[in-house]
Amino acid sequence: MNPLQTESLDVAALLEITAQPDSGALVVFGGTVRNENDGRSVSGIEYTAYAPLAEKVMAEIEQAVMQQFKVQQCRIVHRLGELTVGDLSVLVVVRAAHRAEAFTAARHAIDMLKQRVPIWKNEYYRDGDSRFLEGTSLNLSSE
Amino acid sequence: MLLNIEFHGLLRPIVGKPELQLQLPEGTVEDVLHRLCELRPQLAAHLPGVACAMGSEIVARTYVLADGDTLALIPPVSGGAG
Repeated sequence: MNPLQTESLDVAALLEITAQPDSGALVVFGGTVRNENDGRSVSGIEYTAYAPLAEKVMAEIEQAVMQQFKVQQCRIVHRLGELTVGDLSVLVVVRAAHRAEAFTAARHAIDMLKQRVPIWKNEYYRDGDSRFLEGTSLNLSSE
Repeated sequence: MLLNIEFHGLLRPIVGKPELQLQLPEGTVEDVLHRLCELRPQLAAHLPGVACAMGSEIVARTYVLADGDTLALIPPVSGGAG
């Protein structure tokens, strides 16, 4: 499954390709477009990405999470394009033997995605305005 | 050398297009950024937080570019959820 998708994210398909019999815990995190941000009424978000680096870093995060938290599966998919309020923008699926490491791993995966993957949100407001949200720099020399 | 420069995120509305071609003598990423600031002064304030990439690799500002290279300018990232 491509980690960057322009069509609606398919939870069922992601569960099917990550299924394995020795898993006792499944954690699914989904991010959706919220109708408010910083006191402004949001009508939608356009997501764009720099795909060559984004796909590589998403795979690195999945591998690092599986090793660090000893979970059996970690898959991340992110939607691109114009989304409206309520649409699913990102999915993280973690499967592990037990629930504790599954919860922790899923939390870590979404946090890492937000900090390391070159994806941008251009937020559109009901008053007709729009703006790119501020984020985390990948320029190591700026730290 | 002729370079292709890609702009992402908030850099696109600042530059007014997703990419442009830049003719430069031999030089580094830093030289390219300096030249871009001359062409589009409004980029200057954003460059400290911008990472540069070629393909799937982030490159240092000292990286020496070659004719035909495509350099992607990557502003701070904001994907994911709330």
